[in-house]
Amino acid sequence: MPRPIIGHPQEGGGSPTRHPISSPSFTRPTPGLDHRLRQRRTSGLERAIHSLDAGTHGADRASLERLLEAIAAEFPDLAVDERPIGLVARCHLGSPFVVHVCDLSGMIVEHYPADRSMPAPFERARSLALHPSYVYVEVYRDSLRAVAPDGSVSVVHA
Amino acid sequence: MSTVDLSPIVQGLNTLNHNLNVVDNHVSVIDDKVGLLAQEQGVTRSLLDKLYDEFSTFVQADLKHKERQFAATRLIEVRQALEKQYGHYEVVRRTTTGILQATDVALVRAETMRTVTENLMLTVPSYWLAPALVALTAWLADNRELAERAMTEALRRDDSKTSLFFSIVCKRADRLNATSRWLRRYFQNQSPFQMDREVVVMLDALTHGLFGGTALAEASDVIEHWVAELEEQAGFADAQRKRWSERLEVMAPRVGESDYPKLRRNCPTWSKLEKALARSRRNGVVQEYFEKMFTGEIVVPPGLEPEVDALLQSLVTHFDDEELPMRREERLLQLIMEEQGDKDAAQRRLHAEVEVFEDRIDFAALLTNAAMNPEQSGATRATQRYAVSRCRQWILSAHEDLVARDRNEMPAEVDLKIDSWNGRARDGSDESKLVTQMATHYETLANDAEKTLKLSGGQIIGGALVAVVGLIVAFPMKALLLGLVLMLGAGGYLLWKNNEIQQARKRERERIENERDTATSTLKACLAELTDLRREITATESQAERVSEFIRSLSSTQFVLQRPELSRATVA
Repeated sequence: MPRPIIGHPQEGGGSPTRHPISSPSFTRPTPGLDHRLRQRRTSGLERAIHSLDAGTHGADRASLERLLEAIAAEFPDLAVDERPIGLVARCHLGSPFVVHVCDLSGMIVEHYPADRSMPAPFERARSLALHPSYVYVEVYRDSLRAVAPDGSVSVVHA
Repeated sequence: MSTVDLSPIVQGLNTLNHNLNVVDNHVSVIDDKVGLLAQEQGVTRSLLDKLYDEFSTFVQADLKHKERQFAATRLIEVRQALEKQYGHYEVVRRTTTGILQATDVALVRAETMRTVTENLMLTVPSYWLAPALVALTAWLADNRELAERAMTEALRRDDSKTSLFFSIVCKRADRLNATSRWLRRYFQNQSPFQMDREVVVMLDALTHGLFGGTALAEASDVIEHWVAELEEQAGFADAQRKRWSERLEVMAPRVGESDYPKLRRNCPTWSKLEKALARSRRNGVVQEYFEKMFTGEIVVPPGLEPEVDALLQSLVTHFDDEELPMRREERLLQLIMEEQGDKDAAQRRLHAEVEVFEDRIDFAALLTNAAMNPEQSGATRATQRYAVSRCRQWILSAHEDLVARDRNEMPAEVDLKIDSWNGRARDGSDESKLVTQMATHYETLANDAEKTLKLSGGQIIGGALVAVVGLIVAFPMKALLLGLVLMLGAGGYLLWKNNEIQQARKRERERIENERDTATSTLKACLAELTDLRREITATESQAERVSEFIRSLSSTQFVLQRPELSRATVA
């Protein structure tokens, strides 16, 4: 069973705050946007992704908010529909979990084992997320952007 | 009986016949005349066509003659206008050539040169070469103040040509520091979208180190700005990445037919695995491609230095931008006369010569062609290295995007089909699990086969019936022997049949077990190959990183000039 952290209907503490994101366009990004999304990522976002391994985002609302703030701070100049719909990274919580997903549309962080598929837009990022050359993968409607430890971005179009 | 007189009728018919003959004769005559008319019409048409052709030829010849006459007249007018408007430029050009030659051999006094050049300033008010010449002679006379003032004026009139002029003059005088600064200024005057043709020669000279490492570094600073300016164009960087991606992609080598034969035969998704393998091997090919490009000494082509000197010559002898339109017209008129008034032929020849008059090139095209197709574009090895170093960001992005795609599409599991067994393997480490699965599969097969090999219902019923009949016959003791024979016969038959079935089952089990053993060997061989394949792909992964590292290292301009195996330690 995957370990849902936030947004699971059985969890106590009230339903999560939902920030609806309008459905992004399915067309490829404009050259200007593509150039912006190819810029190196800051270490702040990488640290925020690593904090997912602490597994505290379920109990600690503040941790989740900090994570979401770090994501917003990485793309302050972009509209919400230009930002990634989620992030996928290798999970270091230990067996059976191998990857975790931060779904930005539903503000959900969820950990997954090897034998369970993630929701459709995120499953295609599994191979890259598990590869040792990348820290995490940003998932967009039309592409995946894999971020290396030095912040450089590689793009795989859908 | 009365008789009818038919003679009037006969007479009438005779008359009719006669008249018809007459009409027929007349028709024949008319027919002959019509034929004759048609013949005459054909002749007339043929004469008309001939007349038309001759007339057309005459008209064409007349047009050409008029064009030639017009061109001759107009040529005189254009040359007079050129002489009137730009004739004095020619004086300046001849004087400059004279001064440069005189300086080389030190035959003319500085004072004389100064007087001549100052006169030119008065007679040629707007030409950049005049104050440049004054600056040159003032410099030769060690008159700094005059040199600076004249130079400022020359720069005001034409910054680009003045900068190029002094960069080459300073190089001739071995003043490399000044050369660097003038070159920087010259390059700063260029727009990457429309550059002087001279930039091509200057870039070649720079990359071969003719102006020294400092000049190359200074020019490279400016070229980095050009690249940044080009990237601001919508879609430009994306287009460059795509071009490099296509160039790198086709470097993936074919996987040999003898590579991984077991997997090739027993893996239904071998094509995906093969593609992943070819792509991973591409990294080695790419690494070799770039390392070969940057290995080896740069040999300065023998014609390059004279070509740079020729630039100076062309600066001081060829016509300037403002003269271009009239010079083009002059050339076209000359060609019309040479082609005897054929304007179309003249324009075709002019079009072929157009590059003499076209003085602008696109830097993006220059860079890409020099990097990707040096043979076709005539770029030297040094210029190719330099161009690749300037394109490094696009090449790096293209390479890393391809590698990310390859990693994303690498099959995590591999389907295997060996005889009747299907399974999935990861990396060869799950051998015991798969062997167990296979054994279970064949055990099930053997059990199912055994189940099908049994006495049929008919055989059992038949035997039982015979036994019952035997019993009935034997029971009243009247035919005991017969009954016993029947019962024994039925029993013997069933036993014999059962024995046959047992033999068949045994044979079938043996056959299936043999098949299992063969399949298990094949499975182990496939898994061994899969292990090797994964290992190979992992090894080529590290090559991908080395390629990225190599491309990143191309930021140093000195690296471009030197042999990489010597300068690797000093690369920035």
